[in-house]
Amino acid sequence: MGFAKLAFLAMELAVSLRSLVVLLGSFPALSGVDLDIQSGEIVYVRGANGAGKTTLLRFCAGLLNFYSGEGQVLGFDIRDANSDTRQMWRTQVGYLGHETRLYPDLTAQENLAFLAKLCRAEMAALQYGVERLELSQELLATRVGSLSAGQRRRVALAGVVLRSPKLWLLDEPHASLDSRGRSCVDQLIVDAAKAGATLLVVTHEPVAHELLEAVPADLSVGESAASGSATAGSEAAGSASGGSAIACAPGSSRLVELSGGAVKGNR
Amino acid sequence: MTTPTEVENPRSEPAAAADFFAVNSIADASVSTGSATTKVLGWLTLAGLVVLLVFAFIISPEDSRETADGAIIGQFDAVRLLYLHVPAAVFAYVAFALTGLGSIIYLWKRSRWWDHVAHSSAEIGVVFCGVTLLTGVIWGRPVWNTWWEWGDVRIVTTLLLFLIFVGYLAFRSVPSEPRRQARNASVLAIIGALNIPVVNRSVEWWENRTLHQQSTLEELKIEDATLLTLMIGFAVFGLMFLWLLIHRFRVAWLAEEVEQHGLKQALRRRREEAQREAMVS
Amino acid sequence: MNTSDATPGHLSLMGILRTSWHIWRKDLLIELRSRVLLNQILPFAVLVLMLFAFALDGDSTTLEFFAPGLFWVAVLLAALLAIGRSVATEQADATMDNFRLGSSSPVAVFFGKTLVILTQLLVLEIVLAVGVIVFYGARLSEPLLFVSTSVVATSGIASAGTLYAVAISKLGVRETLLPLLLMPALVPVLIGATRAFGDALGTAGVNGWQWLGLLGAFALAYLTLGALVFGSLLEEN
Repeated sequence: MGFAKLAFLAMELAVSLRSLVVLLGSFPALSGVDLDIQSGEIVYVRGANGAGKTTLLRFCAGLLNFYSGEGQVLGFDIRDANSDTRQMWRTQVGYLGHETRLYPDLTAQENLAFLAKLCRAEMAALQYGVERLELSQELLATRVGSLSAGQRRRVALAGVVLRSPKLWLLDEPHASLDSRGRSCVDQLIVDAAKAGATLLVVTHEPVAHELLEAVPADLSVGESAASGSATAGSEAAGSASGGSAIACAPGSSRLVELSGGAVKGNR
Repeated sequence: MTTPTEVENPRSEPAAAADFFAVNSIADASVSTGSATTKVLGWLTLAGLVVLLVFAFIISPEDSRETADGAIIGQFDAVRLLYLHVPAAVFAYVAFALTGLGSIIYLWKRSRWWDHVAHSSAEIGVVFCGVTLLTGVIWGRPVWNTWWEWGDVRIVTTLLLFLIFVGYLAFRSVPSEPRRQARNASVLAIIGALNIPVVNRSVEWWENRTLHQQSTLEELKIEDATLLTLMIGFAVFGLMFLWLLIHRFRVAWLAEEVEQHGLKQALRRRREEAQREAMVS
Repeated sequence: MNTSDATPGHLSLMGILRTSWHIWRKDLLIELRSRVLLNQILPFAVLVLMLFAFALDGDSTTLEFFAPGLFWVAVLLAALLAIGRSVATEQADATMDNFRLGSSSPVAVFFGKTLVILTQLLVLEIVLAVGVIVFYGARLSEPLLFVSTSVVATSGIASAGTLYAVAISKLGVRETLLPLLLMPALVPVLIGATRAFGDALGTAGVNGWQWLGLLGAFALAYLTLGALVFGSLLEEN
């Protein structure tokens, strides 16, 4: 698919990548990814260790440069090296990595307030994040260094929520969370997608069937140029195959498998 | 997953072993950094060095002259060290200037070519700078009656310059993300090169007393043979610099070629892995 | 759909100053909690003053005469620790990514981190000033020159230090590499500040205000350079 067409689709596709190669040092962490994600879609990414999941997320967050390929993320041409463009791209994503990116010497509240100031988020957004992640006043007033791993993870997630991102990039959001935390996160993901955000979620666990089916099956097929069958809502591994943009309703989800730094079954 | 080594990938081990031999065979296939030009340059340098030695030790006179009151003064045989010292110093500065220039062009054009030039030139510059310091210290002992003189702006600046670029090379020797390294090294080199005049001025202001750094050449009884020998020194060091630079650059270039080759192999392996996984499912 | 979101304040001077201020406050809060400066770096600097006294045979004339230089060497050594600590704070849990993902300009991060180190070193210099007066018998003959030299020279140290520290922040060897890279670059500061202090403490018959000019030019050069290149130094690959 030519890039001119991609630009045409840019308004509907939150992420559109073609033959993307990303190097970490001189190792091709991504060896040629073709991936289209509709706005409002939830895409779960699964794959073995070293398949390139984290790199895919970091790339989509605008944190990494690429070696070859083309595409766009949130309408930003990935080839545009302009630092202002890059900055605007980055401000619109919410990325949760392996690290929680919190200062252990500050309380959860202070950490979140600092994050809010860095991305100029409203205090209301911060409050919303606190409520969604069910952070108690007691927890907020505690130094992050003395919180448990799961609690820290929830604070970090609140830090993502307060950004009100258009594109959520969550790297194993369930990691170290208890069952209550997990359902909290699952609900958060679904609600974000329903509100029009796009989500790319790395997971090691089998994605719960009811999660993938949390979306009504009667999908309205959008005006996409490609004629992909709308298989969203079922476990359609590999449905991101080259060039078939799948139109879907906000909140619909699918599973994509990554291996060897490429989306499975794309060749 | 931040570095490639952390990636768990037991399946690709046999392929990796095969690649190892592949790279070896490239090395075996008589890959050389030499060419007709460098051979000529190399022989010219060698011949020039011989000529320089003959001129420096035999043809050029020792430095001595009679003052009005009949005393014999001068640098005597120590002056012969200058034929090594001065050209080495000049080309050390040329090398660092080239590193600075190459770094600016790299940041501007992002061409690996200029990054290799900057890196190679800095290595040669450090060697020449070391030669300069060593000969300077040896020369200082008989002439200034001291190994080192903190009041002399040039040697203090040169020592600092030496350390700045030793730091630059130390930074480059730490394995890290290649593009980030090239970018940051360029910034370091540019700051380092900009430091030269700043350091020079501040050291000069620091101690206004100077031994004779402005007058090293003027004080010499300049005879034709002395000047000629010095000119030969400049020519020989110029040739040597060029010769070393070309070879060092080609080493860097070949290293990058090997890396690119490795990258292609790695990409191929990674894609095979992806396809194999796709077959399985 | 994207351009409309660009707040005009992103790259404005006020926006940059505000973010620098937030970073400054955040790091000072961390210092108040962790007390690394107070409990570790300050005592170390005093210890350095003591080591000099032993090295120079405790000779009061010598110590008073060389007090300006010894003061600044102690500052440089302590600065290495403060700068290293400042980077380590951001490196521990990849918080540097927050700056890159935030809507603030990298210039703000550079200014903020420089300001933090400047503040910490100025506090340290107050202690060291008392130290050289008490231990070395230094006499403050020009307080205004003393204070302005401290502020200007330390701005140079802080900006150059932040620049170098971030350039090598991703390397495992950053603690050992930082002194080698930073110290040669700071030689002009050491020379200038020592001279200016020589005037301020009445040990050298020079015009310290002229040296202040050199220090100012140095600080300005590094602040400008840092503002220009800091964004690319933060990038990962």
